[in-house]
Amino acid sequence: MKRSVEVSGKTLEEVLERASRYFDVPRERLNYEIVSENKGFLGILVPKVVKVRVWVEEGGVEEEGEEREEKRPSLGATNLFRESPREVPTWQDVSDLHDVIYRFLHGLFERMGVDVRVTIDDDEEAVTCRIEGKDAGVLIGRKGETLEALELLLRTFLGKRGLIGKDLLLDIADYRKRREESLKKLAERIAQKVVKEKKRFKLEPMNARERRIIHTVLKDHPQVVTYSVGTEPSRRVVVELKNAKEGKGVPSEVHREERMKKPTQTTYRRPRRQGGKKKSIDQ
Amino acid sequence: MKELVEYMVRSLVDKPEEVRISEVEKEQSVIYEVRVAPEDMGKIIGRQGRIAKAMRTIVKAASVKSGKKAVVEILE
Repeated sequence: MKRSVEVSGKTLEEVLERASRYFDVPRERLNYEIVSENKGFLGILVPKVVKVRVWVEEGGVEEEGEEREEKRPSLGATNLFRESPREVPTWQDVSDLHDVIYRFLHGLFERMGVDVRVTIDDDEEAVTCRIEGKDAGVLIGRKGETLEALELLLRTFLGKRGLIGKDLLLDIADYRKRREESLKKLAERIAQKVVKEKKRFKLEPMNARERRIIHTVLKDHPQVVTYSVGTEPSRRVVVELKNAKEGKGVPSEVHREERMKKPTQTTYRRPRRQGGKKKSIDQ
Repeated sequence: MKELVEYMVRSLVDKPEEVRISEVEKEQSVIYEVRVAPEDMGKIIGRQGRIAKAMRTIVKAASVKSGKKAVVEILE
């Protein structure tokens, strides 16, 4: 196991000096990675801070890195693609997670040529990333498909690095919030219609999250039941009268299946490579 | 656009140094051919092609601005 610490200080020199005392090894044996760097703003307002993750390779001899970062200077967020932060627990503290998400999205949007702002929030249950700005519409896409794509990419990116254990939610210009509101209203309206006309009603195809909103809203409705039919991506919610026809009643079964239809993750993990691209002090 | 494709692919693979993207210009479109280490293929395609589809959707959104149709192809 590697020991690693995160140290902040005014300069890299100062940080490494302290780390060297902390680990009680000569500075040549320290490996480090700059986690964040605040270059200082207007000299006075914000102090200069550099945050560095430092560790010592137990074996003592650092493997020669076959790939150095100067190979791809065009990509700003080189740090993100460097060796696995997964085996280093300190990486997972909240501010770092925010930092990683922020840099990943920022790098992505920069290359897409869109102009937006990202804010990140989290509570016990979920990390929420909100995106706003003049190009927000481009990032939502038709029926939110670009939004879904971005969320999947971010989730996969973080998942691969073992950085996220809780739910992740991406929202752009409140699209999800607005969509949720309108789905709730739709659900109520359809339920009324079903009761009034005594007919079943099939909604348009929706993704799992949207279907779930409908199911949840009508879960305790006294007169209707909901279930889903069809396969992705054209799976649709059906709303019909409770006890419409006895015996025909698969609904509760289907409904349960729907709820249990959480995607099963294909696990694909290969052992991580060791060494390789770490920066070492004597470079 | 090539940078965007490269950025996404690199963020998903275990061997970013083996990612190669080549650009093929056509009249109405540009094709981005993606090559990765064989063991990384699954990671950029995803279950039922979900990841590949997501990358294509994002590229499509970005190409609205550039005007030319962008196509992402994953090659073995």
